[in-house]
Amino acid sequence: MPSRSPKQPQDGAAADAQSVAAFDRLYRDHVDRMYRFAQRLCGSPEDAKDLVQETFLSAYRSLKDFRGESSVSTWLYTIAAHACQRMRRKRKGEPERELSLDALIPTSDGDMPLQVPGEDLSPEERLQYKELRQSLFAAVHQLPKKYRMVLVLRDMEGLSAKEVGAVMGLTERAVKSRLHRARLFVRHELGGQHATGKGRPAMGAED
Amino acid sequence: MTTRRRTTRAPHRHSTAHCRKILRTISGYLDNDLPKSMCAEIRKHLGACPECERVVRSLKRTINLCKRADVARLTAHDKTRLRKEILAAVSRL
Repeated sequence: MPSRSPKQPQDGAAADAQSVAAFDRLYRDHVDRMYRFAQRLCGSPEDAKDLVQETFLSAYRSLKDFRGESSVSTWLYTIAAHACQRMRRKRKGEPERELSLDALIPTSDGDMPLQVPGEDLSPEERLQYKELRQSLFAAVHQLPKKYRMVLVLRDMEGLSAKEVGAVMGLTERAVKSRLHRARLFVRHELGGQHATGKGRPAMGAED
Repeated sequence: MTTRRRTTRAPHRHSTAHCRKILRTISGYLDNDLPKSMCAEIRKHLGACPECERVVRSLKRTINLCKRADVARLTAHDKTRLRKEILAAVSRL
């Protein structure tokens, strides 16, 4: 038998009005952050809008069950991560690859200089920055999704390893392992494109 | 023509097992996530191995690039449209 709550609304119309008001607050406060996250994850604005829509639709459904055990943004990231998985399964994309750490660690004869500008950009480097940013997103998009999700959440959205673990249902150790591989992969992709034109590192079993 | 004197210590060669060990842990080093003793060992190695130093520098720059990589914002029109679509989908449930 359900417990009685003093906050329980009297009728359906009042409940709907309350839900819409709560949803509007959530949407107004977090839609920019979620769209930014979705764009970094999906690559295209249209896919990002689909993901934002899926995320807030799921959030609306479960808003009354949110108990504040995590921050609202971590809760929304978790919903978005699950929505992203669902959308991916629907599209039946290629199976997830593993990144081999050994294949990603550069050796003296296989390494390339990386021309990523530092903090002190000259005017010329500023002009090249837009192109570099596009290359970065292309490299991030080449990552298998489980690595991409970790990199985007940790290095772009600024979540801690613990928060990323909570969003993805992973241990901190697993988050850090995936993050290191993802960073090495992106570094390699950027270096290959800008310096030597070398291809992607070989894929292998996760160790 | 001058002859070079042979040194007693072999010069450091990149790509040794030690380099690979260092590069396996380098994200933890850059995130200040390793014990002090390991950080000291890594710093010592980087001082002696310019190639590992170059890899670490470029990895750090890659991370900084990720941190600074902004994306376009949602327009006010799209925000309103998305909200309307979500609420319409909710009403169909």
